[in-house]
Amino acid sequence: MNDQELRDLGEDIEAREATTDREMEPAHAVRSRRAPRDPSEVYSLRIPVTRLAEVRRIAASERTTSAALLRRWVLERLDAEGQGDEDEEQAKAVTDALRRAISMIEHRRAS
Amino acid sequence: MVSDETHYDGIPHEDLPIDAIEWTEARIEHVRSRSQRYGAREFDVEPEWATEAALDVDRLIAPDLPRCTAVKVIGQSPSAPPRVAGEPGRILKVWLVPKSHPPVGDWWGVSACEANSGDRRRYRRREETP
Repeated sequence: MNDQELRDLGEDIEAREATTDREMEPAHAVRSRRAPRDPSEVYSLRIPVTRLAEVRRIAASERTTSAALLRRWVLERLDAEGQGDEDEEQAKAVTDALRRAISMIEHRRAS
Repeated sequence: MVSDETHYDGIPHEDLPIDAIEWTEARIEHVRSRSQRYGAREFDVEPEWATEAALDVDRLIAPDLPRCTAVKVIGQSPSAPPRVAGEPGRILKVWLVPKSHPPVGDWWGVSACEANSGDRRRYRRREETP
C-alpha cells in the first residue's frame, strides 16, 4: 500500500469515526491470542533538527521512513558491538595460545 | 482470502500476527495533529504510543467494518500520558493494514486516536475473554 492509499484509507476511517457513536463498544473485538514476537519499548531520542534533515534525506533515498532508518542503524550498531566482543575474545584466545607455544619452545630449548 | 467480521485474509482476528508497525511521515503528522482538526480536547497521538498500544499483549483486535481493509487494535500505551493521574498510560485505538497478504507480522500504521469509553470498557473486561 503506497502513501496515497494509506492517506485515503486514513481519511475514510476518520470520516466514519466522526459519525460513529463513540460510546459504543467495538463490534466483533476479540482478545489477541498471539503475543508480539519481539515486543518493543519506546525510547525517545533528541536529534538536532539539522541532522534530522539528513536522516530524512537518506531515508527518502532508501524509500523508508526516518524512524525505521534510525531503528535499523541502532540495531546494526548493537550487532556490530556484539561482533566486536566476539572478535576480541577470539584474538585473546589466539594470543594466549601463541604465548603458551612460545613458552613451551623456550622451555624445550632451555632443557 | 476472506476478510470479514471474524477473519482477516482467512486468519481469525485473535490469531493475527502483529509484531512491528511502521508509520510514514504523512501518517505521523496526521495522528499528531488531531487537535487541529477536532479541537483542543482531542488527544494528539505520538506514533510511538500507538505502536506500543498495537503491541500490547492484552490488545483487542476488531475488523474495521464495513470494508475490512484495515483492522482496529485497542491496547494500552504505558508511555502515553494517562487520562487520570495514577493510571498506567492511556488506552488507544490504532488502525493497521498489513504490508503483505496474508499478514506475517509487519503492518503500516494508518490512524490512531484515544480509545472511546466503549473501547476502554471492552478492553478492561479481560476476565470475560480467554
